[in-house]
Order: sequence, then structure tokens, then C-alpha cells
Amino acid sequence: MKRSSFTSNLRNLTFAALALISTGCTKGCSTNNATTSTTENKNSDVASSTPASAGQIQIQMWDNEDPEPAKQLDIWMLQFMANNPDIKIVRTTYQTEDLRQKFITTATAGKAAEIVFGPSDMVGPLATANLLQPVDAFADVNSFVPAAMDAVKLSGKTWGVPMSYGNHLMLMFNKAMVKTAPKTTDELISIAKTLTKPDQKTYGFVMNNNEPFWYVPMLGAFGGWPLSVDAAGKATITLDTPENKKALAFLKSLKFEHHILPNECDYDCARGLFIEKKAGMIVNGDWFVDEARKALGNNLGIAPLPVVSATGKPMTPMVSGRYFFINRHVTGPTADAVKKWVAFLTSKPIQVELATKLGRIPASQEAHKDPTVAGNETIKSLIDTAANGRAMPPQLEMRAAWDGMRPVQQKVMTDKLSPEQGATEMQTVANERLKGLNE
Amino acid sequence: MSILQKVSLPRAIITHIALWIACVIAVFPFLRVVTISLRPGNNLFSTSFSLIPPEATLENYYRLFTERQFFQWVFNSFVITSTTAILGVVLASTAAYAFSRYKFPGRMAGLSFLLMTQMIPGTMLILPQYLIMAKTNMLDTYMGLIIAYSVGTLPFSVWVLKGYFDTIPRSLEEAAFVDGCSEMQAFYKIVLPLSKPALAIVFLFNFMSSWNEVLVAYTVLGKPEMKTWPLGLMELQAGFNVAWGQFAAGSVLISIPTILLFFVSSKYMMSGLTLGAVKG
Amino acid sequence: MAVDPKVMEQNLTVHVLPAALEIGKLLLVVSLLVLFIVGFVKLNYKMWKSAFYMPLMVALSTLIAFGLHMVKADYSMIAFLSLFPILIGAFFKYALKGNYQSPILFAAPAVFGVFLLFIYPLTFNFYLAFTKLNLKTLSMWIETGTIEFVGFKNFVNVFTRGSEVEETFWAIFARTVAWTGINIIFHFFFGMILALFMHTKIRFVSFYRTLITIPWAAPGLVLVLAWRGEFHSSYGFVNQLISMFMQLFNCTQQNGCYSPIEWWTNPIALFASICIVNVWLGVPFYAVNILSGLQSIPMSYYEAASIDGASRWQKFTKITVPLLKPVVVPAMILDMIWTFNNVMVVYLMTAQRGGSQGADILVSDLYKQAFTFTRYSFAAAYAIVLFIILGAMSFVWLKVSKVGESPASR
Repeated sequence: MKRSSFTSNLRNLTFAALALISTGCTKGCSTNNATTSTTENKNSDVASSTPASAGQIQIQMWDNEDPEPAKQLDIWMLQFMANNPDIKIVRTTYQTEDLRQKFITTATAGKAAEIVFGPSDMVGPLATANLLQPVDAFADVNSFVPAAMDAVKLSGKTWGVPMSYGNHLMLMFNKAMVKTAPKTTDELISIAKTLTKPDQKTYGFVMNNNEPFWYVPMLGAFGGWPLSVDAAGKATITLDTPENKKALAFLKSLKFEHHILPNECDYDCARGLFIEKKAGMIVNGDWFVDEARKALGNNLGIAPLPVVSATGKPMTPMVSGRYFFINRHVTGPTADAVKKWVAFLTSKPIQVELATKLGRIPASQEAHKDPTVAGNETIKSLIDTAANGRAMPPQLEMRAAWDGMRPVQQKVMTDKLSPEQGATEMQTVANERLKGLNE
Repeated sequence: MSILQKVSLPRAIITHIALWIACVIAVFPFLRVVTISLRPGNNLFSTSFSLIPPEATLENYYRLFTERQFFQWVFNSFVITSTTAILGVVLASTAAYAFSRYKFPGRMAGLSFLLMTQMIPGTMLILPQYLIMAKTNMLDTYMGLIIAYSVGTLPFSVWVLKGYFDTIPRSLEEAAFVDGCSEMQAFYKIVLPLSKPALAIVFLFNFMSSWNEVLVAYTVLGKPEMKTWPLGLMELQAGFNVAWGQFAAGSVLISIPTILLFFVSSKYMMSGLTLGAVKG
Repeated sequence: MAVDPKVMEQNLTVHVLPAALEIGKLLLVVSLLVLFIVGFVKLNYKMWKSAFYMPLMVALSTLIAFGLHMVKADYSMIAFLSLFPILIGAFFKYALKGNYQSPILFAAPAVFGVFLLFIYPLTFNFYLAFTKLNLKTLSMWIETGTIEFVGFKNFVNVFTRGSEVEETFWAIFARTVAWTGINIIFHFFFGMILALFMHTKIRFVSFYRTLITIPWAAPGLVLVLAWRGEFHSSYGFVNQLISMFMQLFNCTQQNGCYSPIEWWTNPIALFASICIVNVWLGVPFYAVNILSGLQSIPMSYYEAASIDGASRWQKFTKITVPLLKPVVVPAMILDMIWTFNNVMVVYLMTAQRGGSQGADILVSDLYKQAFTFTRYSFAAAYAIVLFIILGAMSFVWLKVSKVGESPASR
């Protein structure tokens, strides 16, 4: 009888589950008893921010850290908690988009995390929604590299404490395939052409050409920029410009005239090709250096983005960094704990480790004076590549600009639109998005 | 299966070939996930196309276990999912019994209302359900999710069970009433045992939908030790450098329970899914 | 980077006790709730005749409304919860009149749960749809619970949105209808074929059936992401297969007679790929469903038809199809609702980051409007419109196929 056989299976399963729940208590539960009972009633209610019954303050930090660096973050967290037994840091990782959504959604019930650790473009939406507080009370904003601060200054206030500085694009190349880095785009194109053999799946030059973040440096080299900010701090989206048309035409020519960009290469495709040594050059961010070095070893070369031959100006990657943003409702003892934690992570020893272990440019000026940082080749080259960069605009308008540029850029790169139409359409879509944000 | 006619040899061969092709199409994408999980490093794409990569390794599995709280994720999912499925079956069967056996004012309204809830776009539920849970202090708890999930699948479960109950002759219960059974007794002594296939299906559906749920879990859960597996795996693709290898390894492992459950219940599915419609 | 042993130990530990405690708590809470509901229903049955019954309920409503107002609940919450007692009172007084105690008791816990978790969100969305909640008004709403009332503006925006660059509501609507139609037809078509193949007496049928259900059994999140990879223009298996096929006709990328389809960026190809994936995901459900239907048709019907000299086609159209109808039609209605409301597949296939215009269906667009573009009020109005559309569609479908009357309600 098929019926009874299934029921017995079902019953077994249920029993197994019950047995697991009731008797399967491992060593873990005894240690975790205390935390669960305290967190039950307390949760993460920031608004009340009362210390837990054990006198322990819990701080939630949400981030979008990559899996590898996240491990280092955990080590620091354990160090900090060992020295500050009265503070408990709880860290959770989300995807960038989800991080912002989650923070806003949970804020509606006053349950958002105390700290968001993420990229600078969180500032626009979160500060506009009035969910953050300025960070002047939490750290000395003058102790950081000034370039790191521009990306989080909005309406005259500073909204984030920087951990690292950079997050910018650069040119990485495989020395086994490309001897010296191209200084200009003409050089880059000619080198790439000799290496590109689509039938063997090898390419000279790859980049994520679907994302506007990779396109903006070119726009900068042609003299354009997605936003222009007037003296009063009011930002306007400037995409329907001759500069944008020229820059889009240049981007498009890489694929359709020079045939050096592989078909619809997104981030993972470009990354995979470069790591498998099937691509000579890649434009990618500082977060990729570690992984690339693991794959290529000493063959990895790092260079600033080339000069665009047509204008003689260098490409300008957007520079920001990774920042701590602090929930508006953090006050009292929780604020002190947050301050301690942020101070710990921006202290010199940790910042030096950030440079040596994670290969990121420290945000603290003091750390730059440390010989191990100053003498670090990777950090030096990262600083070089950021030299031509411009701060990523923190305004909400940038958010609309990204959303306007992304789909249109894809249309231009699939030859659905001419560069002229593309520039106009980017502006229109971005305006539409902005209207949506304001309605 | 004796009711089926024997088929001629050519037809049998065609059938085998057709079913083989269907199986390959059905299984192929999953096998590719297995391939990615065996590939060293974190490459989603590779220029090599063999199903088992030449340098196959279990490294990704090992790293998933030691570097992530994978077991905790799976345990959380398992607790939430199985409790949801059981609670869902209990709540749905009583309601379905009422809708199947009695005529009462609001019955049709109630049934249409249940069907209607299926038409609400899920996006619309996220924020208000979150607010309810925040106000009742159920954030970051298993309880919040279990209640949300088991109620969320209720409408569907009630419809399936009601359909099945409809096919069970009333006379059986009437005989029981004569023997002095109460309505409640008739329900769980007679109707429930006869409805095992449908109950199994409802259990399976509840299990599947809460095992795979992402959006509500995202908003409700915050603590790392509370994460369910979809949230845990999403964590692996947080930034740009997605740990695809570990993601794939995790995907393979979390697929095993549902696939097993399906196989175990596949025979039941055949009789439970008809919603009793044909037999009536 | 090696893992810190302390972290590793932490990772390998599974905290079982908190879960066990909480399940215990859950059982307690649920049983208390059920007891409370049952008690409440019984109380109503005792009291409904009393002259004070309705006034009492009205008073209760006012009390709840006042209490909620004092704790600064928002208006949707107040409206929702305070109407509860009045509605219940009216139901007992004018509809039940003291009868039907058992079915009401049987149904009450489930109905209560569904009311709370579905009707409150619905009320909440109605409220939001007439207000102006966006990033700029968010913190005011959080702190004071009030938002500016804008009337039907959001609804007007839903229908009038779109410009020379943005898709209009109707364009997306048309695509959604196409999406739903394509999916249902192919689900049914392939499901039917597979079921007919499996409904034969050959070996290994249960083995085949097992493998064929994989797309249904394995988690969708995983499968959709896997499929997305397969549609990559140079690395995906799909294009590899096409190019192999083209090579048979001496047609390669090099001699220029064919260029690989850019599934991810070409909106039409993207939409096609999403359809393919969703068809693939849905076929097993139909196959199993139809197969179970087929197996429940008594063989004697066919034998009788054979005696009468019916052809195989006649048997199929005169016996199989009509007897399958009661299985297939409910499955199709469910499928229609699920497909129409399928955010996950479209969202994951269109690359999550709000890109890929031109392949969105209504619900995935709704999701992006609400969460990617944070237009809460607009999204609420949008959601209500979708809800009404789907309701109308299902209603028509139910009427046309005449399965609304199930055996029990005869």
C-alpha cells in the first residue's frame, strides 16, 4: 500500500525532526543561552537603546563586505570584543541593494542597525530620508585623508567615517601578455587588437561594460560628469551634453569599431577571463587586486587608467571608499560604544593591517606615515591610480543618474541607440527617476 | 499499473528516447551547478566545458563549512520550514473541513476571499507584514517567520484540502455520528486518515515554499545566527567578488533535502494532486 | 586567508537550544491564540441575542480606536483593528443568528490568521496609495505617523507614467499578458506530452518521473541563477549549442553569417530567455498533475470505447480531455496567478540591479519601483491596480471554465 508507506516515512521524518530538536543540543547551546535570552526582549531596538540586562550593549553593523575581507573584519571584531566585554558587535552582510532597502524598511519600525558599513553612495538616499546622523561627534573628521571625505559631504555635513579610501577603478594587466601598461587609449586599443582572438576566447581588453560605474571615467576624460553642483550645493544631472555623446561614442567604438570588447561582458565574465589568463588587460576596482594577485602572482601589473587620446586627458575614476554610517537614533551609552568601535577600526594599528592584509588604502592620515604602509608597493600603486580620480557625488541625484545611465548604456552597447540618442535618453530617464524619487 | 496497455516495441523506444531527452533537459542546469561547485576558485564562467572540471576539488565545500555558518543556516531553515509545514497542515485541515462539510453564511465569501489572497502581489505584503512583526516583537525570531509562512500558504492549502475532502463520502461520518462520535472526532478519526495523500501534498507545498522564501526572511531576520540558507547564500554574493564556488556548493547541498522529500512523496503526489476532482 | 580557529569553531557549531525553546514558545502561543479565538467565538454565540450586544461591540471598536490613537498607530492600523468588533458583531447578529457553531469554530483560527496577515497589508496599502510616502517624507511618517494625503494622484501616475523613453503601464501590461499566456500554454503543452509519454507501460517510468520533477523540486533561486549563466552570450551552454548547430550548415561567427544572441542585454532575447526558464520550471507541475489525472481515468472507459470502434484520437478527445478538465483547469488558474505574480524569476534573470528595461513584467516592475526606486506610495497604488486586474482575470476565467462550483457546493 503506497499510502501507508508514505505516512510512515512522514512520521519518521517528523520524529527525526522532533528528536533533533529535543535531544540534539550540542555544546553550542550552553554557551549561547545567555545571549539568546537577552536579545529576545531587547532585539535591536535602537530608539530605546537601553543596555541589556547583563549590562552589555549590543551594536548591529550591517555591511556589504565581500566574503574574503569579511573574515578579517570578523577577526577585528573578536579582538575588539575581547577588550570591551561590555560591548557586543553583531555583524550581518547583505547585497549592496538589499543593504539599503533593509536599512530603510527596518527604520520604519525603528529597528535599523546602529551602523551601516558600506560604500559612499548610501549617503544620498539615507541622508535624504533623514535616517542618519552627522558623524562629527563620533570621530575627528580632520584626521582622515581629505579626498576620502568629499564623497560623504552633503548639505554641509559629513555623514560617514571612512575606513578605507579608494573603491576606484584602475587598469590591471597580465605582464605575461602585456609588457608595459598602455599610457593612452590608442596604445591600449592597438595592444588589445593584437591579443584579441575571439575564436580562441582570448581577449586583449575586458571590462564590465554594462555598468555605468565603468563608463564614468571615460566621461570624465571627455570633460563631462554626471552631476554638476552649483555653489549653493544644488546638484543637476548633466547627461545630455556633447561630452557625454563623445564619450559614449568612444565606448561604443571599442566594441563596434575596434572589436576589442567581448560580447555582453559583465562583471563576472571580465573577471573570469582575466583570472583564467585569457585577457591581457582589465579595468577593475581595488577590491579585485587581492584575487587577481592570487591568480597571476607577480605577473599582475597595476596602472592608472589611460589618457584618452582624443582629448589628451586622463580617465577619471570615481573615488569613494568604505564608510561607517550611523543611525540617527543612536544616542547615550550606545553612541559611546559605537564611538569606541569606530575609533578602534580607524586606529593606526588596524588601519595598517587594513593596508597590509586587505590591500586597501587606509583612510587615516596617520597610518600613511607608517613605514609598512608607505613602503607597500600595492598601496603605492593604488594611491597612484586614484590620483586622477574624482569623488563620487553623494547627492541623491547621483542615484537617479545611475538608474538613468544603466539601461541606456546597455542599449548603446547593443547598438540599439546611437551615442547622440543615448546621451539624450540617459538624461530623460534620469530625470524621470528623479521625479519618481521626489513625488 | 496493470490498468495500462502494453505498448509496441517501436513506440516503447520512442517513449524511452523522448523521456531521456526530457530528463537531460530537466537535470542539466543542476549538474552545471555541481560543476561550478567542484571548480577551484570562484569562477562562475569558465572557458572549459567539461561537466567534471579537470582540476575538480571539494575545496569549496570545505571552505563553506569552515568559513561560513552553513550548518546553522541549514538548521534554521529546517526548523522554520518543518514547523511551518506541520502548523500549516493543522490549521488548513480544520478550516478546509469546515468549508467542505458545512454550509454556513459567508462560506462562499470565505472561499473566494482565500482565492483572492493569492492574487495580492507579494511585494505589497512585505512592508506591512514587517510592521506587524516589529510591533509584536517577533523580529529576528523563528516564530515570526513560522507564523508568516504558515499563514501565507493557508489559502492554497485550504483549497487543496477542501477539494480532497469533498470527495470523501459524507455517509462515512454520518455512520460515525450514529455511533456517537462528535463532529471533531469524526473529523480526525475518519476524514483525516482518509486524506493522507492530500495532507502529504499540502505538507510538501508548505515545506517547499518556506524552504525557498527570501523576501520576507530578508526583512525579518537580522542576526547572523538566525539566517536561513537563502540569506546565507546571498551573503556570499554581497559585493563584487562573489564567492561563486561556495555559492554553488551550498546550492547543491540545500537542494538535496527538497529533492529527497519529493522522491519520497512522489507516489503520493499522484493521488493527492488530482484535488479529488476526477474521483468525485 | 586561513580561518581563525575560533571563528571556525563558531561556524561549525549549531545552536539548537534557542530553536527548541522558541518552538516550545510558539506551540504555547499558538495554542493560547486558538483557545482565545474559540473562547471568543463561543462567547459571541452566548451573547448575540442580548440587547447590549451590538452597542457593546461598537463601544469596543471605539475603545480600540482610541487606544491605538493614543499609542500613535497609523490610520490604516486604527481603521483596520477598530472595525473588527463591529464587523464580527454584525456577522453574528444578522448572518449567523446562533447557528452554524461547528463550522465557524473549525474555520476561525485559520480565517483569523489570514485576516491579520493579508487584510491588514491590504488596508495598509490602500492607505499608502492615497498618500505621499517617499524617501523625503519617510522620517516624518516614522516619527509622527502622518503623511500628506494626495488623493488619486498615485493612481493617475500609474496609468499616465511613461514617456518617450520609459515604458508605459500598458506596454508592460501587454508583456505581462503575453508572459502569462506563453507560460500557461507551454506548461500545459509540454506537461501533457510528458504525461502521455509517462502514461505507458514501459520500464523505468518512475525513474524518469523522478528526474523530470527536478526543476520543481530543487530550489528555484539556485536554478534560476544557474540558467542565467547558461544564457551568457559566449559562455552559456545555450549559445554554444546554437553555434554547434549553425556549424552544421557551415555557418560560423567568423564567416559572418551568424552572430551570437545577446540574451542578457537584448530585451527581446532576454524576455524570451525568461520565458524559457519559467516554462522549464513549471512543466513538471503540469506533467505530474496531468499524469495523476490520466491514471485516475478508469481503463474500462477506453475498453468500452474500443468496442464501439472509436479511434485513438476519438478516445483522446472524447474521454481523456473531458475527464482531465477538472484536473487541468484548477491547475491552470493557479498557474495563471503564480505566473502573473512571479517576481523571482524575472527579477533574478534581469540582473537584480534595476537594469534591463524592456523585459520586466508588472510585478517585477512593481518590486523595482517599491524597493529599488523607493516610491512607496506609487508602488502601493500600482499594487492595488495589479491586484484588481488579476482578480478580474481570475473571475472571468472561473466563469468561463465553470469550475467555480466544486462538487461540495452542489
